[in-house]
Amino acid sequence: MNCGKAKDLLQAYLDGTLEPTGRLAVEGHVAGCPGCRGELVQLERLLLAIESLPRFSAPERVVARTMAAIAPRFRPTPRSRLVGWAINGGGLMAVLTGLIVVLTSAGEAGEALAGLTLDQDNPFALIDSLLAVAASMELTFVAGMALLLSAGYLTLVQLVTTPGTEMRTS
Amino acid sequence: MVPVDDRLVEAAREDPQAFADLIRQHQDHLYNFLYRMTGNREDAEDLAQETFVRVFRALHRFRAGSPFKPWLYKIAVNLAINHYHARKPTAPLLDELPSGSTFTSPELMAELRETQRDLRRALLELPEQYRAILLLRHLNELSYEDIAGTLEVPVRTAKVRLHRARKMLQARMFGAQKASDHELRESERPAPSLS
Repeated sequence: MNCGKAKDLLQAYLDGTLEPTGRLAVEGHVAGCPGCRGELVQLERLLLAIESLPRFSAPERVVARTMAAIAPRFRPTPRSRLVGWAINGGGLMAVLTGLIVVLTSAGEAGEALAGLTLDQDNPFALIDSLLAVAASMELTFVAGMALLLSAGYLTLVQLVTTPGTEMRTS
Repeated sequence: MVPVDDRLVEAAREDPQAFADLIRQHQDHLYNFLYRMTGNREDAEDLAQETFVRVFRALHRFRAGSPFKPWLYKIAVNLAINHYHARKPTAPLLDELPSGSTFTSPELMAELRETQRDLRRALLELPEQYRAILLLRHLNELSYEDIAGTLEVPVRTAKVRLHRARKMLQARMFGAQKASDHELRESERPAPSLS
């Protein structure tokens, strides 16, 4: 192998893309040729220098700036819109049902609440009174309250998360 | 198993949070590539943001299952080249510590710093297409296939272009060194007598 051919193959040799026979031929030539050996070492150092260039972390604001720039382009998909309506509709129904149930069954609980006693000398009196209120509540009242709380929770979840959006392509 | 990129890209079509995760996944590599392309951190940041905005706008055209990286870098390379035409890069003035260096010897550290300063300058002097291919391969460690995909050329062409880029950089780096060695020898020579 002459120097011209060897120099042509040095990069492929460094890339590890030479066939074993070509590799051996380059190694054989380089071992006996200081000029080509120098060229190989120089090239190797150069590539190592690029690979060891300092790396930096991108500023975190790249994410924030990008997301701010594309925010107007997100809009709900038809599917997510349907899901949103279903959740909102379900939530509204639950709120209404809960309100009706609570209003119709709150009478007895109200009376019990009115009878709450605050006795500073006996801290257990308040607990006893509260237990009495709980005992006087009807199952329907408790169910109504549970419905109201669930509906409130669902609404919060719906407000906080933004399920399913798509890009505006125009 | 579906690659992370595929899952994120698929989700990012509908979910802003997934798109933010996709940015986080690639932003450091992209930022470093753009920094070495432009030689300026502010420009790199602006271009990284613009790249991601363009990715987002074109996400509906991205073919599921095809590699994401070449597509991302294709957009970045085009933006960096357009930026280059609008405003030529300048050599960074800030000193940089070599990456991952654990040299205890101050001389070795100083030597490496100097080499890298020359390298940064030489890189910025290269034509932008050659600078891009060198960085894609040796800084961002893209495969030949991904480089070919990024530059939209056959793999063979990408290899030929990379070899040419290395030779150009080598000539700029070590050609300059030879010249400065020559100048040094000349300066050490006794001044010719005027008599």
